[in-house]
Amino acid sequence: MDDKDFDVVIIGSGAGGGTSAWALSKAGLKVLVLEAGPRYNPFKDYKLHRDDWEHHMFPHKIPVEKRQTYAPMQKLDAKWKHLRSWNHLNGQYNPKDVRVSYGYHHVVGVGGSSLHFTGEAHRLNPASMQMKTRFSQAADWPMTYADLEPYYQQAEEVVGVAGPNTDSSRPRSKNYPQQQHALSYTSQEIKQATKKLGMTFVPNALAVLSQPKAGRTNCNYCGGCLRGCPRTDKGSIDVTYLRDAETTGLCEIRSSCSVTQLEAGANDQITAVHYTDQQGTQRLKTQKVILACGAIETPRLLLNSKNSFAPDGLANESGQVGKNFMETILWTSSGLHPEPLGSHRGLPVDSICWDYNKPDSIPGVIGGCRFSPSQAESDLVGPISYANRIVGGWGKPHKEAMKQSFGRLLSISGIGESLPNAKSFVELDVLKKDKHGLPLAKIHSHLNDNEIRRIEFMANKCREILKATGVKKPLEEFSSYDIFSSTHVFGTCRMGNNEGDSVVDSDCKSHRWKNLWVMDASVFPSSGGGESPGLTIQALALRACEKLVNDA
Amino acid sequence: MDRRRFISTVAQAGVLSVLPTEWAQAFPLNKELQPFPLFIDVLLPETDTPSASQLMVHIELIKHANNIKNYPELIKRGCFWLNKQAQTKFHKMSFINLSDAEKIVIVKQAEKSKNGDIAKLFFERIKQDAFWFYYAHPETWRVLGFEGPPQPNGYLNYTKPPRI
Repeated sequence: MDDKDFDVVIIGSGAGGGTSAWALSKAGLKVLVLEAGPRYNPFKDYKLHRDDWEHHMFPHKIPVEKRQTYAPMQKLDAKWKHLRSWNHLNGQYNPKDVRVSYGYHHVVGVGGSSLHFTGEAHRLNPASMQMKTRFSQAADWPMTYADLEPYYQQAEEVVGVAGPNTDSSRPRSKNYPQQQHALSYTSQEIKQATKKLGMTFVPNALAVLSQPKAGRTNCNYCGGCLRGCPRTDKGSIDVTYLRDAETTGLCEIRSSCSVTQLEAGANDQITAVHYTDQQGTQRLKTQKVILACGAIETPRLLLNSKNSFAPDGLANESGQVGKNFMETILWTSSGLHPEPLGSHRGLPVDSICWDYNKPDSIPGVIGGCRFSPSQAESDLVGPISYANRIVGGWGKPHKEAMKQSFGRLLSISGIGESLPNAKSFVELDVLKKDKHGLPLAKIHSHLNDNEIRRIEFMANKCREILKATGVKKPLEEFSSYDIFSSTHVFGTCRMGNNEGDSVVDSDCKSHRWKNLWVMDASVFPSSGGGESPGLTIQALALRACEKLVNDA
Repeated sequence: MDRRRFISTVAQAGVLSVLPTEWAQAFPLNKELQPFPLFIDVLLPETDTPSASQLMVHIELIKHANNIKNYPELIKRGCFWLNKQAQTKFHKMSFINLSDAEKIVIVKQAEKSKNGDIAKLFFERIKQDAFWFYYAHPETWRVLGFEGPPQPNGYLNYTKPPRI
């Protein structure tokens, strides 16, 4: 296709961009996807078949550690010392008296961060969508759960979500398209043990095939989702939406193309997209632009695209671009179960407890959370990690302890709501620039007491759960209290009905710019109570694209 | 998550940054390094599975060290320290002349050395990296009940109790 032929240019190919490309090309529009990273070949790039598989985490082709900078973080308070991160062999993970960053974990490549996700495919709890009205926190979603429900269903069918049909807090119009996965032996133990705590663990909703679908095989429960799925049973965006979109003949994906600027003109129109590829700098005239680079890079591109028509940054008429940053709020406790579990087997997050998911379910704290097993997410599923982080020692006692310990490690994580505050935001770093000379995004993260008390609740519950299963004591704990470490980020281009305090409307369209949409988690008015955001991003994009097509 | 992948990153963090840069040298495998495979065999001896040196972990580790500034010098100095202890403690020429029990005494001494001492740095770093290479050998997995690597077979028995 010639450049001038494209109806829509999509920037980013993750959950928002990939879904948009699918929806628009299926509707007959010609779309171009510009992706900063390369393509991944699931059959060649991932290493789970190798003897040294544990040496290889997700094979990032574009290093992500230095793509953002971090403002100095808050001082830590001795009264929360029980919320610090530690390991029984290696001591405190953060020995400093200030919070530190382990980074924003994402993938730059075709398919985005879905390439390394665990497959969680959650619908948002409807009770979490009116945080402003109910609690004077964050902002209300400018739509209801019922408005989103048909698009959730559509997204689940495209990627092939397997889950239980029994979650009454998230009403469904149809059953899940795939049968739920059987619980692993470890999750069966957790489910049984936590009954005495009055907690209910259920099969998690996962974009992982329990039955073959459209040329993709079903899962064989290796637990390696985070390192990249070599079987394509995991519903990452590259092997689902984007693969389908390309088969329409109406979707072109240009990988390794970094967008540097959106050019704006008169009449509140975006006129062109500037990007760099191997040939140099390109200027592409465009009719419509969808921005879907995630809650860090999307506001960065808008702020870097300031011009005479938008001197404070594109789409920043409300001053809200980059504000309302929300992050991953996490607690993990890990210890050894008294009996062999084979806990390295099965899907990484195959069960979940939603008991405290509603925003008013934690006593004295606003915002909910969820609990789930997390051996794989803690990277405690192979002999090397056991040796260096759990067993320790050396000589014959070490080798004997390895035999006694392997497969018994149990990790439980809580992930909670993140409420926006004035000290958490993303801005341009005037001192650090990328290879194109553009300022990097600088992340400011601050936890209020409400967030810290939620972490404390999650810590206590995780320890209770471990104890209920028979674990005598934790051997390692990780906390968002002293370490910023986020995969899920939200809120920096908030959606809303009021153009004075939001960036886009309920259709993800800029309040001012007539041909600009944002379709990623940066539009979330609130984060939810620990739900993974991928499916909601997809549902929002499907809904917005339907409107875009109807209005075209 | 990989939102929680951080932990292993930190766990694998090295301690070599404290070594002065002038120590960086080429690293031949020669006589002065003879204690090295014996040292890692004290850490990972032969039991019902092979020792570290039987799996050539010392060779893998030396290749790995050659790509890291100061690491070869740390190994050289560590081996020198082992020989020195053999001489002063047991009046033997070298660490390689010690009995298994004597070697264990010296390795325990390295483990209990002060933070920042060469012996401590050597012990901690080599132990961590020896584990890293040793447990990447399938010969070490069977007795653990680990039926990996994760692919291509996966764990189709994942709903059942593990086979002991």
